[in-house]
Amino acid sequence: MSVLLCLQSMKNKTYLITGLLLIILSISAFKNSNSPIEIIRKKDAERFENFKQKIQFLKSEIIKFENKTTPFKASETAFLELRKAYKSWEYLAEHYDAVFIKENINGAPLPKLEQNSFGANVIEPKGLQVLDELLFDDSAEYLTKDMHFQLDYMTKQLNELALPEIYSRDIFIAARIELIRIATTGLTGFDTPGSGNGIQDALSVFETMQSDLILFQSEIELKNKLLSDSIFETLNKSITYLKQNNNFETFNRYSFLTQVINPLFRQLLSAHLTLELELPSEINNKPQAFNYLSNNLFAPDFLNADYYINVPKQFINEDAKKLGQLLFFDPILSANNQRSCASCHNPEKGFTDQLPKSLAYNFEGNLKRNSPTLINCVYSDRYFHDLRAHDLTGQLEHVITNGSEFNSNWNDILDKLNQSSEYKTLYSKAFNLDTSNAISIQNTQFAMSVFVGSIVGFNSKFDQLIVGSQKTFNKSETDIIAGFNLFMGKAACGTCHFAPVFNGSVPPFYTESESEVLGVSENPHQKKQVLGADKGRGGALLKEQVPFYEYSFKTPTVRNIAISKPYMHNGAYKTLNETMTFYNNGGGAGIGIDLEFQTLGTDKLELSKKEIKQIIAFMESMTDTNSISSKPLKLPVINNSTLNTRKVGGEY
Amino acid sequence: MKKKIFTIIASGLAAFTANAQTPFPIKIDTAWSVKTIWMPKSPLKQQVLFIGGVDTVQTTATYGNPAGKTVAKQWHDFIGFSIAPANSNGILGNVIVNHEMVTSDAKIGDGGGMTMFKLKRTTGDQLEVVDQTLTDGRKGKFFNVDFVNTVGETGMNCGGINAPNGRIWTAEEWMRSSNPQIFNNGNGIKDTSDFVIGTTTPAGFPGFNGKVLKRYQNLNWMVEIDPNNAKAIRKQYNWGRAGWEGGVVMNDNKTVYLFEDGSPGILAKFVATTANDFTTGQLYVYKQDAPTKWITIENNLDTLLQLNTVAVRRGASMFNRLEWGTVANGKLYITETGRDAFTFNTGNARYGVVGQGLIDGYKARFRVLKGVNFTGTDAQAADSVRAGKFNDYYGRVLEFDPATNLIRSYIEGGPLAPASSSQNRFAYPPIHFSNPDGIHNINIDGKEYLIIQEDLNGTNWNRMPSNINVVCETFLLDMSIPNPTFNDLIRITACAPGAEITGGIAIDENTMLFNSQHPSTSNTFPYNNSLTYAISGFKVQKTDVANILSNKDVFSVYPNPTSRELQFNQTTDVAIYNATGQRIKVAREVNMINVEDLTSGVYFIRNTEGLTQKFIVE
Repeated sequence: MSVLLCLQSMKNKTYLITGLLLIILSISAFKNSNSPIEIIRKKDAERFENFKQKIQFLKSEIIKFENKTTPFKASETAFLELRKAYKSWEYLAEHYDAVFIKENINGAPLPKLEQNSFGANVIEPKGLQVLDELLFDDSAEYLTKDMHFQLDYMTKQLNELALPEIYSRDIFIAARIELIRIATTGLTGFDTPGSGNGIQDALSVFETMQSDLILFQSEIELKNKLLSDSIFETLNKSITYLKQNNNFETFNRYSFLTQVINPLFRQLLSAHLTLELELPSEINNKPQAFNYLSNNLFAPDFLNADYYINVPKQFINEDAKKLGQLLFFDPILSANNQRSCASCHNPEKGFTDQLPKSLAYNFEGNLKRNSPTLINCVYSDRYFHDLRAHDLTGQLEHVITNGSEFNSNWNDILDKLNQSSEYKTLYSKAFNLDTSNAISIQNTQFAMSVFVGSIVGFNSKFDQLIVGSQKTFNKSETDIIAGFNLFMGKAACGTCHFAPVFNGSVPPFYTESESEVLGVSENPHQKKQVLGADKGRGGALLKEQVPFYEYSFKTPTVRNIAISKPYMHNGAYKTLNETMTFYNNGGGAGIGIDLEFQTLGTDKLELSKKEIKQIIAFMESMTDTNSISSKPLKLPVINNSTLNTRKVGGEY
Repeated sequence: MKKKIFTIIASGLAAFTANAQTPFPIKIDTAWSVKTIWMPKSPLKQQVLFIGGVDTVQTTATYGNPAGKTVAKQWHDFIGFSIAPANSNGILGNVIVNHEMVTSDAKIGDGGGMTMFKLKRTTGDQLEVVDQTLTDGRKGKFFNVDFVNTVGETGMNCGGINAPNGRIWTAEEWMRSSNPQIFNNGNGIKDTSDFVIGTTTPAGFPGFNGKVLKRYQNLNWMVEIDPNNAKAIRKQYNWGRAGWEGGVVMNDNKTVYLFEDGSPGILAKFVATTANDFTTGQLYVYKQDAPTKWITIENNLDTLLQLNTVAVRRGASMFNRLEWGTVANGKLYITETGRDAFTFNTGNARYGVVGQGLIDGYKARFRVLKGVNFTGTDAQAADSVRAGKFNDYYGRVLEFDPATNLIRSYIEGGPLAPASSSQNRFAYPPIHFSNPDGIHNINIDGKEYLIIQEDLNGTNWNRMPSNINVVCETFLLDMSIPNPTFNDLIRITACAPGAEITGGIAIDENTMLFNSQHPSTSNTFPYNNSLTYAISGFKVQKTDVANILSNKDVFSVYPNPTSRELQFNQTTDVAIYNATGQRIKVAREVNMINVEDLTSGVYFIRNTEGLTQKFIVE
């Protein structure tokens, strides 16, 4: 940049040395502008520009169609070009401003609530996913006004966007997060509700990432040739594979995950560490839900349970867990000393009660809803079917005070616990406090959260298969894999039950739990199908009482589904077959329950009986009860009390 | 000439630094570091006073339950302070804290609420919450304010008013439109019977006694409370029902300004007929294009019940979420927190006029985005705002001059960044100032400062650098700076991690009180509960660090103990290593690094050139 300027100023020989120094400096500066990250910075800006241009191009094509100079097909083609442009920019764009992308460019095509607002303000969905639905709608040709609105909106927002600085570390972080995004959403059709363009999208992303990562090849090679070779071999394989297998319905997600996504996910971490680039934890001290140092999307350490438990780190220990376990089985938490957490969450029944709706306090009928399994329940930022609690602590609070559950209050519970020297000692040990003040509301909540958060399991038959080391498969394994491919593809289950927990925690950050409006029947065994009165999320938190959350319920984990029957929030569906039939018919819309805000696709899935069987085989292969701890043999002694006759786990 | 070449060398170096990706080894040899920097303990002392969910409040007989005690509510927001008379043996006064929530509570009362306690200064800066006995016989340290037996429940007690004569009002922000909404399946306000004004003591209100309100209509007023007896006095029906967030009472003890958290939100004024009697007077709503700037509002309950709708329909000035206000140098400083996306071209908003703050904000943003001044008229700028062409991500502080009745943007949030279209990427400035909410002022050594607290509406649009922790910060602004920008703000980070800082109030020139609202429960106790805490030591602490940063020639590191950060005299990349030489933090293109989270001990800081210095956190 400054070479010419320097040479001109070098008329006097005495400045020769200075001049030489300047040239060296200039060269190194020049060389530097060819450094991988400098090149990527420029390419990123070009991709951003290209994306904006493709929006204008689609607009011009739509205008031509409106003027009857081109057929509508040209607009569809222009839209696919726009998608390609976005997908080439996506992995970095999502990395430096995921919220911007979600709110303006590629968020789900559903209304949502304004955050941190003075009231319940509904934000209408905007961006590519809305366009995807519009362009591939049966009456797309009549919806061009809406398309213009979306395109103009995106343009306006993009014209105000400042691209922030990016560094080498960001390329590796962004690429690895993009791998999660592709595996869990892109390839399931999550963001292509109309076009079904998921595979083509993935190809655009991989091509971009390959072209950026190749710039680091010599640096990686210098330190680890083998690693470098394996990275670019996997990247080449990804592109070949996506080019050769471009049918959305038949695409083998299992093969792609085991042969491309997971190996590359591991290799890029190695490269990041080998190059000694800073890790997310060194940039930001905020705890992350997804563990950057994990090697595999399905590894037990992929998600940080500690992040969700939300308890000070020093208290996440064995002593607190053991105390939490005792409290979990201790009916002392209920007013009548007959009910414990295990009453509805029995470890022998996969931490459920296997009843349609749980038994209420004093046998006075039933609770409103079905008891969900606690295995892997920790991976969520909201609790209860209606998402009214924000953490396990809040969840516990509702159970304690609910008249139909524990019917109790903290004052009474603390009084009872304080009568026990044994409990005092246990609390004191777990929280490193004097026995006189160790028992508190918060410490009780912490201990129980630590215990519930420890109930996890990622070592099912399916988890063993997804490792990918197995080369040959027996009949039942082939069915499981076929079922997984359907679940993540044609049957669209994976667009709400996100891998790897297969619950509503939204990838790639897993910090937000989703709920869905399905249109679940009050009683599927009756001739006339009726919607239940339970409004779910729309009748829970004050801030969320809006029409589009009515009849919306939390997306539970599919793991351990075989042992957590019956199904749905109301437990009305007795078998997996019944449940699958409901989905196959398009949910409520398929049985005459018409809800304006049904979020489940209303079209029939057209799954054959065999396919349904395979999906069930996959779901049933995800049973892992290894972390199920047995009941404690006895509960802590309460000094001088009749309470000592209380039963472990309660009476009922 | 020589000098010129040096400049070129320097710029060459700068280019090298900016473009380079300095690799910081993950491990360094810690043996040979020459220079040691001491990071002393902050001279500001922090002290926790009141912990929600933990401290016990003394309750009155409520809902048939006898008077007793229970655990205090959480979600601390506004702080009221009723100063004690001089020479009260170190007693400073009564502190009263809002709880911004709606929950059912059989002992404290349903809805939100307030908690009161008496504060004493013992030795040095040490504060103490002392026992007291109230006139109703309650004894103890903390007392809930009795709303149920006086004026009826309140909800979402957010901001409020500290009047010059010590009177205090609490603001109810959350507008609801039906009884089932406030009942909320039994988790909200359980008593949904009609409310008759004037049947409880001392809630009588001349002109309104005997009027019947639906229970939900008895929410969202300004409510006066007695800070010394922990009882509510009256809901201020004659000030209107709106999404009130804050207000101020002027020194004449007659004029009141009220701020609505809405979009459109309104600015109202009440002038009492007689000083100190706020039961009779005249209510106005601000309208910048009216000859007198104010619209008169009749003292009629039907009108007052829907004040915002009436006011906007009559063409009132529309603001974008007004929050709190304070009076400094005779003028009002009001936070307009902003809202990401909005239009004023549908519904009732079509009739109002776009507020001057939004017009000023639009013009400021136009200048940055387009690189040229907005040359149109204010009316044209207003039209653009109305049509939704202004994304108000950052918000601002407004200045209102009671002498002229004119309002303007005093300081815009930022950084405003030009849109990227070239290869120029956006470099984050060290200060990010968005969505101001709480505001107060303090006089230190004769200098007036605003205390501004953020409540971020989001982290995108450069409100925070990407991938960096979400923090709501508190700033001081030296009011002698003409035309201040966000770069003039002085950051005070001595506060609980992870929470929203709110309620900030200077109770004298040495001590500020703050609330830490809804912190993460994974923080260390007690910082994992909403709490009220004091920061003392402002009188002795020099907050201005600009002078020590003037030497830019050699890379130097200066500790800023007030903010628990290391500051550099250059913008550079740095890495921090622990005592064993293990890399633990990396920051790029910064001129300071926050070390709040480092426990005391030995650390090393290394810059782009590999220069390593030792620093010790006390």
